[in-house]
Amino acid sequence: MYDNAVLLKHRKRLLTIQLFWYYRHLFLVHRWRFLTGILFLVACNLLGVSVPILIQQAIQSIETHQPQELPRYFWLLALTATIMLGCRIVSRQQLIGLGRLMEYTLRDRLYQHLLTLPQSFYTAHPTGALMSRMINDVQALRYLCGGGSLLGFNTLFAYLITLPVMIHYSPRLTFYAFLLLPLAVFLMSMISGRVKTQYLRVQGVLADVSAIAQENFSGMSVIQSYVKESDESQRFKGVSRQYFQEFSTLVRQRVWLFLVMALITSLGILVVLAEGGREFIVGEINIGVFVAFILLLERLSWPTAAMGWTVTMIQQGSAAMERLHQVFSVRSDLVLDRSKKGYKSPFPQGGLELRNLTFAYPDELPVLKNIDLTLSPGKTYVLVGEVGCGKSTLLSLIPRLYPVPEGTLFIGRRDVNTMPLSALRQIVTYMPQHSFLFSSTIEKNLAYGRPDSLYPDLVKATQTASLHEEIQAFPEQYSTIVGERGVTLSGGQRQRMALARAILLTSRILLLDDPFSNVDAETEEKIINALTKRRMFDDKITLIATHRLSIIQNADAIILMDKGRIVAMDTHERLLESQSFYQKMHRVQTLQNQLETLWDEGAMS
Amino acid sequence: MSQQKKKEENQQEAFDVQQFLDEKGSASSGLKDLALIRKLWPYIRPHRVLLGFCLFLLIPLTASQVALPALVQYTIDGPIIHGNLKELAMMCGGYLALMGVHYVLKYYVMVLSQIVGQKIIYALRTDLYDHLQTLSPRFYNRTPIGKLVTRVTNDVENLSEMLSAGGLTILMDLTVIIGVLLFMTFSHWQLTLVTLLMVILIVGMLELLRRRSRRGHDRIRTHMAAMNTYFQESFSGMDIIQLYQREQKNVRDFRSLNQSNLKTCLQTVLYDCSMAAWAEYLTILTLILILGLGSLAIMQGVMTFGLLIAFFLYVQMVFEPIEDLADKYTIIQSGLTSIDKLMALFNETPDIQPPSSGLLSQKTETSTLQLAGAITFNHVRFGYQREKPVIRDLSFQIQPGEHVAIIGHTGAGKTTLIKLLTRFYDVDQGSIELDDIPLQELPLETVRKQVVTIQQDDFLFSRSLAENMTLDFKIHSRLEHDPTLQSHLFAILQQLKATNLLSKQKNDWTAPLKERGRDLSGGERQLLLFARAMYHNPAIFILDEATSAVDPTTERQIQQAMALASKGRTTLVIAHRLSTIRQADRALVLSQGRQVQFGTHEELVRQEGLYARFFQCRKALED
Repeated sequence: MYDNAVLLKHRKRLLTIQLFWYYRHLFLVHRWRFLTGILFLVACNLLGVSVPILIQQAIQSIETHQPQELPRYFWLLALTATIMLGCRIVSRQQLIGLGRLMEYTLRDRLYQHLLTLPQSFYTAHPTGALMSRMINDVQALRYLCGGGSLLGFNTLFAYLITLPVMIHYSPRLTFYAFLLLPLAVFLMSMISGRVKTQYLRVQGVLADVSAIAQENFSGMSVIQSYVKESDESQRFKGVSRQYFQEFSTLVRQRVWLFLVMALITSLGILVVLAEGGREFIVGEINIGVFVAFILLLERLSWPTAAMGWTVTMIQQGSAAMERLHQVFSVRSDLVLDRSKKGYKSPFPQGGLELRNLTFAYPDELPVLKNIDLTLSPGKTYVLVGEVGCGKSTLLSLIPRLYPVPEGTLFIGRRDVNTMPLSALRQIVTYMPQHSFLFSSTIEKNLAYGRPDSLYPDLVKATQTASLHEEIQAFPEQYSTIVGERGVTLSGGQRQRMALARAILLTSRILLLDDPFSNVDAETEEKIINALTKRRMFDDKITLIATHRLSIIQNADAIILMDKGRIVAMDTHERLLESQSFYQKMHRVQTLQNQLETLWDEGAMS
Repeated sequence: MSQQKKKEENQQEAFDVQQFLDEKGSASSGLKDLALIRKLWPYIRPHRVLLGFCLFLLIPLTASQVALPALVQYTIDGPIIHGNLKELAMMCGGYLALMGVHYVLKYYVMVLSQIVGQKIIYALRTDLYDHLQTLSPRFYNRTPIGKLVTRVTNDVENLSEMLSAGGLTILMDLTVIIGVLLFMTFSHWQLTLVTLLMVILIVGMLELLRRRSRRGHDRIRTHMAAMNTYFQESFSGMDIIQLYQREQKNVRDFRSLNQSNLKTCLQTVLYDCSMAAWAEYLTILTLILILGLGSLAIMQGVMTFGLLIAFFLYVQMVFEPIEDLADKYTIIQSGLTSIDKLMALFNETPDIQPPSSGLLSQKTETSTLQLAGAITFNHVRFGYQREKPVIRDLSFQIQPGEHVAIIGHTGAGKTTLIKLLTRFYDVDQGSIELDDIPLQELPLETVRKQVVTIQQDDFLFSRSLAENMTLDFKIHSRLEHDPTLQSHLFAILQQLKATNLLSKQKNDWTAPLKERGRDLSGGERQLLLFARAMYHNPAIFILDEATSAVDPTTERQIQQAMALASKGRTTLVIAHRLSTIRQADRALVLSQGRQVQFGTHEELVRQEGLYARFFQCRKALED
């Protein structure tokens, strides 16, 4: 399905109809529902037209003094109306429900697709834009498939069925009645066009109101500090006044639109009254036809009004489809499952090796240059270097969050590009700098990578991360909900949660990006001791990017990075002797540690 | 795998929709509907004459609307039945004229009433904004900005919808319904009775369906909120999802949420569809009943065809607004909810109160009052929460024109001290005095005008350089009319050696800063903040020095700016760098909300206390 979409990209602009054709499989799923809906819609309109016809005949029988006929008509009318009630409910329910089903399917597919997209996509597209695809664009397509198809087809059938009946009764009267129609459609499309432009303008001013409010509430301390409340009040009043003026214009236009719609019905009645009255006097029609005409015209007033809305829904639905297509046509830039068949051992043994790795983010200069590095199993490494030297990029490449050039990154002598992504990520656990937690319980967050974890395992992990006691202090302990709707954790707690989540997996390769930046020195010491105990078995590799001294002294080797290159890799003592860059960094860290303890002591005394 | 375990796993995997559905209710003012509407009265009052006029117009409006079908009736029973073409033409002309009158009236009533509604909205919105400006940081710290923006936009919009859909429109519908029913009663009371019964039936039926539908829509809304959160989290935590290989599980999780939403939607669709269909059905049934009873009456000769047709038209006229009533009810409900939320905001009282008595509170003196700049803290105790004091028993005195550095660890109370001094919070115990006048007895305006702070990352507005410097709403027009003002601003920048701020704006004082000044460097931002402070020429100047490192040139520039800004003013600096501390006359060392040391650099170095050790450490670090 995505192959199609990618091919399309090369053909540049597509007609909307083509676009819908390419995604037909999404729409065809519910074809039976659609057909049922349409069928009942036709039935509805047929029955709907028979009501005025029956009324006409009933009236005619009064006129011709045949009252014995009347009961039959009433029963028929009641029957028709009742069947129509059923048909109406079914047709509406089927078609509007179709919109909901489409919404469901589209969201499901879209979400599934988005999960396959790589990190580069998410850095390029802000969350807000994606949310808008998921919510607004999908909604536009729901309106198109549901309400749009209902209104559109209803209008079509209403005209197709009502018109012949009217012509049959009186071609002349039909002609006069429909003289108004083009005028009505023209007027309505004109006004609704204006309403739309004005509406956009109003939305624009409302956005200004919102922007000023947003900015001033954020900067309220500045406004209050400088006693500028009355200035800002004036500014807010200015934009509110502008909003009032634009909205007043919109009000007038909306009232016009409303009145034009109502006017058409009234004019229709006038036409029937004048022309129908004349034809009655002349003897061309009877009083029943006269009544039927009024009722038939009334029947058409709603479908006529719906024409404009249908067009809008089609336009908005098409635009939404195009935007969704843009997302659907993106594919992951990572080699995904190329090696599925040839792949045997999911867990290659041995170390991690980087050979002459150079990496750049799309359209940027290289961040990593000619990296050569060999990490042996069973050891702990620390990656140090100034902010922006490429530490985080290096770590994030190992689980292939970004595409890794072929022949540069090996695990157990095997190029990571020849491993399925899922196998690679089973061996490698990477803890990014930001400690993102989901709005869920602590337990579920911890067991995120392994939902079937047992409670003792969770406790072991939180104990290592020195978090267990704090979790137990919460009223609901491990079932406490964290995130937006729950308990707010401190930065340090979040970080240790993320750490516990990562070490719970006991992966062969553990990569931690600055995992202690929000943890105090004492806790850090505890965590490192526990972590080293946990990681020292077997053939595990631990790589930590950090500045903190306590880890540096415990590591098997330090990797020193500068401006995207590896400067040196050696033990702490030896680097301290040989590298002046490292000495300086170490001294600053030591002094800062001293300063911190100094203040802590000061606080004690 | 055992059956038991599998079951457990399924349970664990079933996505917790309920977790999202348990949403806490928002703040409420706890008022009943009518009381809420009464709260709006002060806003409605100024427009009572215009509204009264609109109400008066409703009489001819309703009359003309009711008269139109009656005219149809007379036309049919008169000229048409009698075959008089000339009279028919006249009647049609009359119909057209009446129609014209009716629509003109309707236009004015609708437009006037809605514009009055908008005026009310305007007043309410600006009042709300003004009220929010009086609230202090305590309020802003616990209220998300997004929520406040929603109040002044969406909630006010809901209210606006309510005023245009509800209010006069509903009254208009009601008068029409009553007018029609009255007119029908005079023409044929039996048929009217039937119609009335059907009206009651339809209202009951719709109400029944509406209740279920509303319950459904509430649930859909909650589902949508849950989905929103889910997307938001998924997209911002995508790396975690992919790294922990949760894609499959997330697809399942999302599907269960999506399915639960679909189920509710499909149920609700059924109710929604049924509402329209039942309304249509009952309308047709009424027509049939009228036709049946009417035809009997016609045959008895007590009714005419014209009246029958008029009744047909009347039935439509009565039933149509009833069908809309449900929608309008929803709009009114959400409008009322919004009023409730808005009133809850209006109920927030500022916790900083202006001085209630004393000579200094009088307006005339505020503008002329110039402080010398002496600061006294007298056994001050303060905590953001009373039981957790941040400042405990702090006392010190600073002379006018003195330059003091404040030193202390994170959490020592340095920033809090500034907030107390600018009276964003009131002390719990003790007192703060400026020029020996307790802060509470000075007008707030004076305090804030005389004490100016530069916070570490103070707010820049997405406005022009001139506006950011002066914070003056009318600065652009003032710049145009007053050339000296521009040179004054320029002189400030020149003094600060920050004229590149202006050249970066292509020498345009009125061009908005790019991205709220985000493309300025840290140093440039600081200098702009200095310029802002200098323009306002306060008696006391407080600076929170940036902790992050800046390049030596910028550092020197900022040092210079500080020297300039502190000249002739009492200056407090929360300092980190030695050079900054050495610039000050005295240093105040804080720890845990208490004064540890206070004295000149030389004194403190000799004392061998915290300061001396800090100095050693810092000196080594800065080398």
